[in-house]
Amino acid sequence: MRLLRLHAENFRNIALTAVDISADSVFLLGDNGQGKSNLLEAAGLVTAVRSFRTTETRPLIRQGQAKGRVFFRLEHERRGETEITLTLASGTKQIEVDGESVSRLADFIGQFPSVVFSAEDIQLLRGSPGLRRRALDLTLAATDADYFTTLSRYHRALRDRNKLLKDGAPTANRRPFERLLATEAVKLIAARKIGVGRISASLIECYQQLCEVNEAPELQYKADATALDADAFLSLLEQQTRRDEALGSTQRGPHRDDLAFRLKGKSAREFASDGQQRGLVVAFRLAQLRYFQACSGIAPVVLADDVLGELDPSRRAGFWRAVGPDLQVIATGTEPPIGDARSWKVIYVKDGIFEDEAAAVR
Amino acid sequence: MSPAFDKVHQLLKQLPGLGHRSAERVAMHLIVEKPERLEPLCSALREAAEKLHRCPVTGNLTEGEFCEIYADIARRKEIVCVVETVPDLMAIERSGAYRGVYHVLHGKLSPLHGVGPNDLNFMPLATRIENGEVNELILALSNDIEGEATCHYIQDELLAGRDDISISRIGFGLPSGGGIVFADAATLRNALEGRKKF
Repeated sequence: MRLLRLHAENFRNIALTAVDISADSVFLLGDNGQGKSNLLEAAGLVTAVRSFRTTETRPLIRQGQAKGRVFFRLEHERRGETEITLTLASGTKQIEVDGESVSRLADFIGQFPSVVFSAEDIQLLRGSPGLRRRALDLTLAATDADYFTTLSRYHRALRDRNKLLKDGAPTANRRPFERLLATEAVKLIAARKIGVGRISASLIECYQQLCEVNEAPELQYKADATALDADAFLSLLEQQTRRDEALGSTQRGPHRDDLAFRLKGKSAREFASDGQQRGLVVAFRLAQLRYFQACSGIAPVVLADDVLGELDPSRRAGFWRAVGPDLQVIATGTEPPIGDARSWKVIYVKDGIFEDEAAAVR
Repeated sequence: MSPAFDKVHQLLKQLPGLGHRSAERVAMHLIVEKPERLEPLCSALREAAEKLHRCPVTGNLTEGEFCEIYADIARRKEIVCVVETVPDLMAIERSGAYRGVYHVLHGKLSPLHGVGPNDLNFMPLATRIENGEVNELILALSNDIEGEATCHYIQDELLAGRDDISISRIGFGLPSGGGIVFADAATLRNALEGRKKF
């Protein structure tokens, strides 16, 4: 897949812009706070209508405006030239693909893969389990509509059960929801186990290419409950009932799962150096790229938000080796890119206005 | 506009399916454009509200003691189709494909919306089952977590130990005359899972 044009209207600090991003390598150049990352954020919405910086819609809409809009024209392996319009209003997101509105997110998510590399990614390793679950869910849901459905059903059943626990409802009222919760939980656990295994296998290769050392990196799935079938999960819930009732919410299950990054058999969070940790999260994003490509057969777009500058020259060379020559890359930075094999099309960014080289010279 | 109009507008807006604009249109229509329709509508509503009540057995709306479908001697009373709402019942009736009787729950279990078993019309169904009036139950409830949970509740609480009653859920699949390419992923999945021997 390759993004050809991107229009953003009332998005973050961008009032209205239309940018030609059809080159193989596009570099958004500008000082901090000018709107480079905002455009990259808009581009990243194409995969799951989710921002890599926030879980809310409101901050994406320009201040004082009711709606924001992002339009894409792109070249797609299966669909050919495709146009997508995303309309964001507080609390709602509308998707149109080639003029037809998409009513279910499940029908859209993952068809247009992209991976964002951001300095914030270090939080995947250092931050809370919720961030890691979100990254994992997004990866798996984007390539598997069933996973997305299972995940939504699980969370719906969980909210229902938690409400019943809070209300002190009798067991008979809870049981039907627990049965559904158990069915979906077991499906989620199985899918996550397989998915993490595949991502971890790619992580080894990507880390090797990036860092040129063999430090046995690993992504480990730490399931909170390892029930093999729905009955086993139900009996686990039963054991936990008194605790759940006392706390008014479900204490065990896939919503408490975590992932562990490991290096040389040890937890990277505790034992890896700063450089190793940064290498690991970049390798994770690279592994995500491969996962998307392998599952969907569609080449994802690489969106690199100010991370290339953070890598030393040898890792930067490794990064390009791992990305390969065929994927489209859109990167941001405060300094022009130097020493990379790619021939960049530079777009200058100032105050939410985007101008390519020719216009900037004029 | 005027306090009297605003009041009508506000009340209409609270009705299901009417938003700000459509409530305004209905109010304008009845008050300004076609005031002659207002009185017949009001009296029809009042009359319906006075005469109609829930059938004590099936939960359907009726003017008589029992609903017309239940009172119809040609209908097979031992087969009961459980639906969430009266419009669901009407939709199945329009299909002409069903010759049994119904039971309307008037909703589905939904803890998040504060709907529990006591808020639904389960009791008359339990009575019919206990009295041996039912030998087949068809669950035509919505295909989401709450609809499925309601199916489980019926199975666990109303049919416990009743192996003599057969229970089934309606299939969820492709619309008639619709091509496969127009169906979304979830519908196709249901259609494949619910496939029949050919």
